[in-house]
Amino acid sequence: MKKLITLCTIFIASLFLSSCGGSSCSTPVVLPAGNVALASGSVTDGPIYNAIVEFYDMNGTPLTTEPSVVRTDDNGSYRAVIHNMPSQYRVVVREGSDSSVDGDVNANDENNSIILSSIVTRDEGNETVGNVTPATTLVDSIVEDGALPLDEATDLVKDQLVGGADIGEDLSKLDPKKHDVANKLGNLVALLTKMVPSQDRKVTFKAVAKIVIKKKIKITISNMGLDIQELNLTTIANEAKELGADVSLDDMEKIASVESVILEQLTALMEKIKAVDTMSDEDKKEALVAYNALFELLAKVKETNLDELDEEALKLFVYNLQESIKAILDEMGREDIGSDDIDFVSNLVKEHLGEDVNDYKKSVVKALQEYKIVIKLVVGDTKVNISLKKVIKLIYKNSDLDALTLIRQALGDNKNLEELLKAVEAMLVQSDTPELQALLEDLLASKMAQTIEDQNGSVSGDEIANGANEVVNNPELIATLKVKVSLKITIKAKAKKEQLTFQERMELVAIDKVVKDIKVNIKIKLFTKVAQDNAEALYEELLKQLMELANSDAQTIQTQIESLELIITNLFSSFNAIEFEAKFSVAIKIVQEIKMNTAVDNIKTVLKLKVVVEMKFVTNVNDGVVTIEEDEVQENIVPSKPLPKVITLPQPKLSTMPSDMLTNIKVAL
Amino acid sequence: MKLIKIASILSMFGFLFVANAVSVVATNDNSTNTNSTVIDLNDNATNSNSTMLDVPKGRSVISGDIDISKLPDEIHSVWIVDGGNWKGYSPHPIVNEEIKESYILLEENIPARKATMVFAMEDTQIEVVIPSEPEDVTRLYGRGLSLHGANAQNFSAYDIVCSREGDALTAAIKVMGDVPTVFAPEREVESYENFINIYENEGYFVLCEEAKEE
Repeated sequence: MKKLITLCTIFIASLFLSSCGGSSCSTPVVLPAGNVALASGSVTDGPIYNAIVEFYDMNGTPLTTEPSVVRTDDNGSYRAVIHNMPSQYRVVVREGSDSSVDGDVNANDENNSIILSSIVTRDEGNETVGNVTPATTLVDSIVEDGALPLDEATDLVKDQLVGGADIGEDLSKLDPKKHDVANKLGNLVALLTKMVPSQDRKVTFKAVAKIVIKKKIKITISNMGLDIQELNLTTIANEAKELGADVSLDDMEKIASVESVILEQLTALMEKIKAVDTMSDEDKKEALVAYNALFELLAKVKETNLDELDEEALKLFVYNLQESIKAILDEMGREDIGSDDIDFVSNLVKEHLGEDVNDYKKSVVKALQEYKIVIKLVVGDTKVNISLKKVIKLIYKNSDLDALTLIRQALGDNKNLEELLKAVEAMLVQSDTPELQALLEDLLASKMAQTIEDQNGSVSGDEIANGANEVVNNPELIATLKVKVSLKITIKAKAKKEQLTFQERMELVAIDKVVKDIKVNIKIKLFTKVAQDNAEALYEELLKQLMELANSDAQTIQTQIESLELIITNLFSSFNAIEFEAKFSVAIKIVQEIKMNTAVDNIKTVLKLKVVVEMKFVTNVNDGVVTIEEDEVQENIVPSKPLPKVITLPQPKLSTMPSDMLTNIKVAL
Repeated sequence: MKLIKIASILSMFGFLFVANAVSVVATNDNSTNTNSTVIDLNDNATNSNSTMLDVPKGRSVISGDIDISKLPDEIHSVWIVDGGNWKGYSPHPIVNEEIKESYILLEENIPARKATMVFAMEDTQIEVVIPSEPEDVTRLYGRGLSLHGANAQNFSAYDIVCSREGDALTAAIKVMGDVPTVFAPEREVESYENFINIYENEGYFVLCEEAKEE
């Protein structure tokens, strides 16, 4: 008899499951009373599809389900029949793919790297809804650690992260695909865990749970967006560190120093995030733009030295990046744009920050289209091809904006790609650390970009080979780089455990400056023993000059470091410390003047001058000395043009609204 | 497959709006007769204190006491912000069902102190009452973007003062038929019509931000 009931159950369940295939099915299901019930819900960070969904009782014993392995569908929804469904159970979700903030399955999706969970209370009737989001995971995390019972944990999360909005008693009953505030809450929790500079998301979730329990966070989420009353990213990072996460002190210090820019972008992103079911295509695009800008911003903060971080420069980076990503999404659509493409765009933006974004964003779109064509020629997934792809991407980054279209012309030739591939293989032999490999990739790409520009795109395989050889088969260059990279690795490793000294911070700045100068020098000449000695002398002198700033304020230090952008040392003729000091003084004076001139855009002006100085060096290096004349500065000053502030007027959105009313009204002030 | 799904949803709502358009005609036919006296006396208004406010197609922000049961069918929905949340109401039951799912359904009439965001599918008129003795409210302009109703008062945008110490007004924005107009202290904002006064039946957004040091 028992067997018969089971068979009936399976039959009914299979009928139900095969006829529904997702959350859209609303046919009432009659299941045998008593010990069999249906569990359904959605899994949303962005909707997570093809994820494994497991069910446990509150003691951690797996529940029997039909089918035995439950997975989410394309919309991130699941359905399963559960035997002996208890009054409360835990849903655990792992793997799958996150369809990101736009909620659609496409190229910008990411593998789901976190384990999400939810404590679900059984509903009356045959079907129980249990949605799983980062917010329910946070509640579960608080309960799991025994800190609070479910209802109190839920209330605490709502009090500290939602504010006044009425979102009901049970977060697992809210479908974030339909409920704006629930969706924002889930995204906020996920974003907070992603903003801690640690790979261990389980620990970062626990860290967020801790600051919620300790009430060290106070945020109000509404349909209008996000209002942060109290949020300190370093507090979360500190908790994560105490829980054993590998968080560098240096990274924490960097985040603390530019936290306002990061939180501003977080707030802007939260305004764009909407419940997936109410988002128009334009909304999805905007959310994707703001999301990518936030994470590229965090990546830029991570890779920049603490003393070189500048809030205004970061704001300009975010603005230019957003405009560029918007331009590629307008031109190419969301379907084809993945993280590799965003990385490409971000690289180009970083390198051309001094330019007017309205002028160069078309070049960025064109370059990305052509990069994708070149990359199609480099198919395969071997380590070499991954490196080759990176080098090709970096060639674009290191190329002049006007020359971006020449690269496909040069690399569209299979012979040239073969030569480049050989150079990459040789480079991999030389690279004993990932850091050295990354540096060599950039230097090789810079040399290649210059070779292509010099030959106006009509470069031969031999020219590619010769240029590449000068970089990757050059013992003096490799030896110099290895020493500098090794020192940098040592300092960075120390930064994970303790605060860096002023000298160590300045050593990082000096290393980066010497490598930058080497990069420009090797564009035009072979790096020889003379250049090697001069690079060492330059490093010593730089460090000496920078150490004199030990008692200066942060602004003075930043100005002097910025001034270094306007000097390039000729490593081919003997290094003269007095000459260097004089040039450094002139550069400092120029940057100070630029900063005092309220009629100019400081950041863009310095960046533009940097390009002028490099061009002058590359074309006139045989003159021996590169000078910075004041009249040149005046000619190149960028007129003050504050970034337009665009206000997006908030509004509710429903799928029944006319489509033209689903796009927010924007006002550019 | 996904495209087909989206297309079918769109066509479903296309049908909904056609159905609404038909019901508009029927409703208007009925109302013409029952309200004819009022129309003669008070230019279409149904109440001696009320006025018929022209609302163009698109989104507009207005202010006035609004009886939500009297909204014409050309209106998709009306919305206020209450306690940081959007509360909405529609003359179309199916829209109200969706409001209940995603937002909070407005179940009371709207007072003039609240700004009302109107979503109009066609040019239409809404009956509003401009109270002769409006509620006494203290206007607080917090940091960030907030939404306010004129509350039956005419005043200058120069009177808008941000509540938080150290904050300054960046802009006030009105919207009518999807077209924004702007007030920014001491400067002309290009590309938009700039205003100075806010009138009794208008709603407006206010953006307050931390004042920049000179």
